[in-house]
Amino acid sequence: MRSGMHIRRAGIVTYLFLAAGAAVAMFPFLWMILNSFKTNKEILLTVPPTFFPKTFYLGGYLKVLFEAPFLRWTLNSLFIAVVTTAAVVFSSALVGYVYAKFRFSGKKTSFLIILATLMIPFEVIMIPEFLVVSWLGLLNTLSGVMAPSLVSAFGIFMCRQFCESIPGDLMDAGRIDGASELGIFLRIVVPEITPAMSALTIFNFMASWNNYVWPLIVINDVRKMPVSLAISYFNGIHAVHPSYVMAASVLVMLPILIVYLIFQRQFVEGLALSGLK
Amino acid sequence: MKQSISRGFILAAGFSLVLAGVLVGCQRRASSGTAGNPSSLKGTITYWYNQDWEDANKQLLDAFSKAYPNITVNATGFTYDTFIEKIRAAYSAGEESDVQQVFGDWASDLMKHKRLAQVPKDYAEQLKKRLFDTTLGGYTHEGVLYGVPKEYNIECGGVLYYPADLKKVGYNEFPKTFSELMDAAKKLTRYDTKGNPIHWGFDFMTTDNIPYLLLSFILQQNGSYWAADKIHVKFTTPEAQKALQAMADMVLKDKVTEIKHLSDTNNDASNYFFKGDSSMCFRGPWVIPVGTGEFELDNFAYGPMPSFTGASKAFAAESGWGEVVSAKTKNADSAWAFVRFISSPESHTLWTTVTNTIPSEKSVAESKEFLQSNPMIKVSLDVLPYGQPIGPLQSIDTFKSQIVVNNFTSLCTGGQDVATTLRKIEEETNKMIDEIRAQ
Amino acid sequence: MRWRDRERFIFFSLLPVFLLLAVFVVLPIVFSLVISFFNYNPLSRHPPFTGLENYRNLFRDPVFLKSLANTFFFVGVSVAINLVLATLIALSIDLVSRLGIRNLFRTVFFLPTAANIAAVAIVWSYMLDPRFGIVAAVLSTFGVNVQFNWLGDQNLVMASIITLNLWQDIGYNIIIVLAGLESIPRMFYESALLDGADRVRVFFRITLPLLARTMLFVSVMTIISYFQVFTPVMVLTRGGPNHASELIGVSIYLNAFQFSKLGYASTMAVTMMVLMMVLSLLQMRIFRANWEY
Repeated sequence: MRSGMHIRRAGIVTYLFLAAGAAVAMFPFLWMILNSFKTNKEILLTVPPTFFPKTFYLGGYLKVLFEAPFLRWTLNSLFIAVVTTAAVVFSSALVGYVYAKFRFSGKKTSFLIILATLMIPFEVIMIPEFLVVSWLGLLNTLSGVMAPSLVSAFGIFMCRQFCESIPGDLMDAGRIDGASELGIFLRIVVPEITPAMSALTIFNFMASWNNYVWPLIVINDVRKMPVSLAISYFNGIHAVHPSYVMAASVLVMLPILIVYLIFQRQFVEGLALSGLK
Repeated sequence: MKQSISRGFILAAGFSLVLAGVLVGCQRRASSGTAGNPSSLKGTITYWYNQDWEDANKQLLDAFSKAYPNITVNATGFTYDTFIEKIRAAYSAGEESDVQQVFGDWASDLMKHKRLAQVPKDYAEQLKKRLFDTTLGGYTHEGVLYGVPKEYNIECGGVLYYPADLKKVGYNEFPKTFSELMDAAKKLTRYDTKGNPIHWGFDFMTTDNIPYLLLSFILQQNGSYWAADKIHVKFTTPEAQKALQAMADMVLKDKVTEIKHLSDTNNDASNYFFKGDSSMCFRGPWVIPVGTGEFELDNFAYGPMPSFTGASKAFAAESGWGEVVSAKTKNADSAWAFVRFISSPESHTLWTTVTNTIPSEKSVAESKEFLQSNPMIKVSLDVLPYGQPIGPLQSIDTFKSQIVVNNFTSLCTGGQDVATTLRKIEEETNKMIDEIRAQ
Repeated sequence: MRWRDRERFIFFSLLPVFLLLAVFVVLPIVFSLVISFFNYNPLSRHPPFTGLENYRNLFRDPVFLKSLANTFFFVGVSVAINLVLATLIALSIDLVSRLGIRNLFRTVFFLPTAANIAAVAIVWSYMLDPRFGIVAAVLSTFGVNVQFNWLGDQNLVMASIITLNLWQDIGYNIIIVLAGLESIPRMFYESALLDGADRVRVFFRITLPLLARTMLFVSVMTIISYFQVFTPVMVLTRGGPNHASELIGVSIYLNAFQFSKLGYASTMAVTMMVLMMVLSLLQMRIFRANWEY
């Protein structure tokens, strides 16, 4: 029982359109991957630009992997991403649930404030946030990098949407059985909103992985920095090394793509449902 | 609810205690620095440096740790793009390292708000004799020296060129006068069917070179861009008019270059030169290694920029890379021992040779060995004595990229005339100066 | 007993989150609001109070007004193209019956979104190089010999930024709209077919209305997001040439860090925040009116 408009099947025109779109979507990726195997000189100087590398050059990858503490950075990023994502997903589910299903004074106002925090660009609050983190003595620590990202207004908003559609009877049934509120949350609510939590997981992981400026301001030791640093690491003030930048970009993107492909189905379902509710 | 209230109270109390503890713990004392005995000095200092100079800095750090085995230097390199933000954020929170490698203009804010330690008097006296005045300008505040420049940051005086191209239009040597330069440039420019230059005879389109060309043209006419009070600027002068007109003519009348590629953040004008899009390019000497290194070229040379008037070779320069020490450092003795060591004539020779920059140190700039390491920069070395500090123009970055370059762009594309452009440059710069002075 | 359990649950669920948000987000925002009334340099110990002067200067500042105009243009054009294109692509994918190919297309269109935007911007800057870029090469094989300076020409740069941003971002909306389409029950279409309706009518009379809620959600989120676009512009043009590509997010950054005018940057940010709040509230009002429909 399929739904959707494909009562008429996709014709050749549709396939051509999609294929063209897919080509446009994929082309810059291919370009980036191919460029990562070219020498700096080839990228900078050949006219007309070559598509395939003239000589297969691994120097970019070697440089990024061995002249920078790449593995260390990846581990840092992994740690930061996993911890913040876990915190965000759990806290968003909990708070989203509370906002969806409970009444308490100040609910509307506090929710509006939470939403408003989505509308300020990061550059503006960066210095005040830095001052706060420094007052707390968290500078140059991974904790300082993670602290502002442990909760997410977007996550709260999204989970609230999902929780609103859970029938109240489910929870009342749990209460009648004598379960604690926390128990109800963990055993009844969480299973209901798994797609949303998966979506939030991928989304938050991606955002954390690509985050660049904040960690750089907070951390002083190169070995504590995240892997997003790798992309600009070999660009100097004046010298540009496109081969290294391309190689670093490919390497930095790989983990995200892997995570995406693993969680793909749940992510897509989660997004779909979020759009409808 | 009593349970929850007391829990909440404990949370809040704990939070305040932590906050108080951190604030109290952040007290620091400053002390003066003297040249100490290498083995007696000990402790740890933190040093932040610019990653572009990784090789040179590492060599100096190694040499230092051998000479002062009891001092540990925790050194971290930062990429240029976020380095200024990092330094500003750190200083504003009082979390800066003991020593930083900064670019000249960055120090002006820090000095004005008393965040830097003064260079010990005896050393300052030495430096004033050893180093070019021009390099010390950006590190001096109200007559006191607060940092030690390693580099003479020069954007003027030299022109990249292809000797083969010049020969084709009849110049076997680099043009010696300004009119010869323009003549060669016009002959070398090639146009498309619409009359737009696609190969440029003489290019100067960068956020550094446009303002510095303007200033050098003014100075070479024995003019000045300062008003009588020496605090505000004055660009509505006949010298400035002549200077800007000459530059506008290059783009609009003689069309030896065009302005669109100015905004290419990935490709500096020198990149365009190395790719063959121009025959001559007015740029500082630090691009030479990019040409010989990244682009692997050996067919270009560096020639002396002719004087605008034929008489003077004056130009303005902002201070380049150097070291500063935080006023809050707890280890002043070690910090200054470190700074002294890495700014000795030997260290300066090593550093500028490895980084391919021009030294701030007169003796190094004049030495034969230094010239041998990079013969192409002879042009720049010859012209060093004619430089002057750009002056208390805060902030230089805003002046260059926001005020001068944007107005020049309006001049070249928006139909804004020379007189209006100069007036706007003057007004906007003075407004900026007043705002920053008020801070 | 249960009342106590519930109250305690609410309190302890919300407290840590509120505390974190208060300290790390609300506090910095309030701080920014406060310094928008000063000529503020974070190094200065006595920043001069300027009251509303920053705001007065803001609305007379030609650079800010240009940036505002750019941003509105950018958001308007990008969101419109985004919605139309995402819907078209989603409709097309929806027509594909084989699940494997459907998922393949879905993944392919989402991949650009997973990439690091800074890296993407760098790749595109090479692609857009007027002489060495792949776009120039393709154009010349089609016989177009004029050199387009995609990033350096004031008339072209906005189009380039819009294109890059759309390329990177549209995958998100494609998937949401596609999911919305996938949930429209088949019987609506079957009865329309029985009535003899053609495809266009079916789309406007059946598909679109049922997709309304999805489309509204998508447009609100996209608008909020596009108002804050920053990284691609910073990497590609830094707002140039001569502010032609400067968006509000970029203006704020430049004022805060390059020109040391953190107070003025905060003024811009506060103004922008108020603007977005008003826009969002307006959209929610309109949505509530349509919801009945």
